[in-house]
Amino acid sequence: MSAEELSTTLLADAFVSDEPPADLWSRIAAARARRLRARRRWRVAAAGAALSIVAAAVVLFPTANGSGETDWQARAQALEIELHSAPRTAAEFYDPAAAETASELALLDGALQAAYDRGAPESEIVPLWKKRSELLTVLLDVRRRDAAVTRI
Amino acid sequence: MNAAHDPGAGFAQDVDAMTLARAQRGDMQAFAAIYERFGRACFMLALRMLGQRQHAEDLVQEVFLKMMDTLRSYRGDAPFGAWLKRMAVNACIDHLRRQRGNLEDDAEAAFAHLPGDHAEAASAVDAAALLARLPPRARAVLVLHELEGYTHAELAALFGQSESYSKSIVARALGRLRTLVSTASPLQQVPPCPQKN
Repeated sequence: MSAEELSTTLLADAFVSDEPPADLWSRIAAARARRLRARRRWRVAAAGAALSIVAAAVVLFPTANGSGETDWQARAQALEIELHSAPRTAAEFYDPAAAETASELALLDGALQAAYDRGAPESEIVPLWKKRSELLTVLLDVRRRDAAVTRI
Repeated sequence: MNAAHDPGAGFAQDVDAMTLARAQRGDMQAFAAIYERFGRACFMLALRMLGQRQHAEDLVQEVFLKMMDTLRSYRGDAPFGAWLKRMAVNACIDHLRRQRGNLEDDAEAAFAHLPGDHAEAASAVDAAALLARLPPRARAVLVLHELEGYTHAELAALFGQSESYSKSIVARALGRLRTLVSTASPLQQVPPCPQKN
């Protein structure tokens, strides 16, 4: 028998009767679940930290130009982060108010982008950000209300 | 060839497109189906390369967790089994690199401090025991070359070494196995390993 045949035979025979433990998949699945939970916790913590920073910025620097008016852009961005960090509920998908608001928000985003693209003045852009903040507040209220109902 | 004798047969299997698509969306049942198909092949490869059950179990877990994380990036350029096998081989090599004492870049040094060929000759009739008497990296190179069909060029790339290193390791490992067998009992007297039906 050549050395090559010898080694192939030996290697093929080595451990041939060994089987992976029956519970190996359940251990892998459990490790996967732990990993996903840890990632989810990290995302929530990161979103919370980002929200805190933006909220602090809104509180500390409430105006963009020192005129005493609300910075609607910063407010809308803070609301958006808050909206994304709030758990989405199944009821939200069937809520007509939420659907209508989401669709209005999509149209508004298009208008806002178009305004920026053509270099529209602040006087035109600020009301759009204000409207965006209002729509996000509505969506956030719906999500919070649904979450409360789900908990009950 | 009996599938139990050929770990490559496990990796050569196909995964249907539906299961793959579900797994790419994170469906745990689809992952379980993939494990059902490839878990044993992965375990056998790791066991032969690493030589210890506990290490092989840890490695299978590591490979499947990584597969679940990266499956979305799989585009089907290579068969799924080949993709998974490459992941398993790389994980085994990383494992060997992490272990102290397995880092001999010199083929000569890899075989320098082994026990004498006549030691424990009786146990040498057991194929797994024979493999265990090769240096870890030499065993891994030999398994990949002899059983998995890797070329010396591929092995050189995988281990970050030259082709001559791979050739030297394989030749020395084969020589050592031959010596071990000849000092034990003829191979024909080795009792057949039990097989699953």
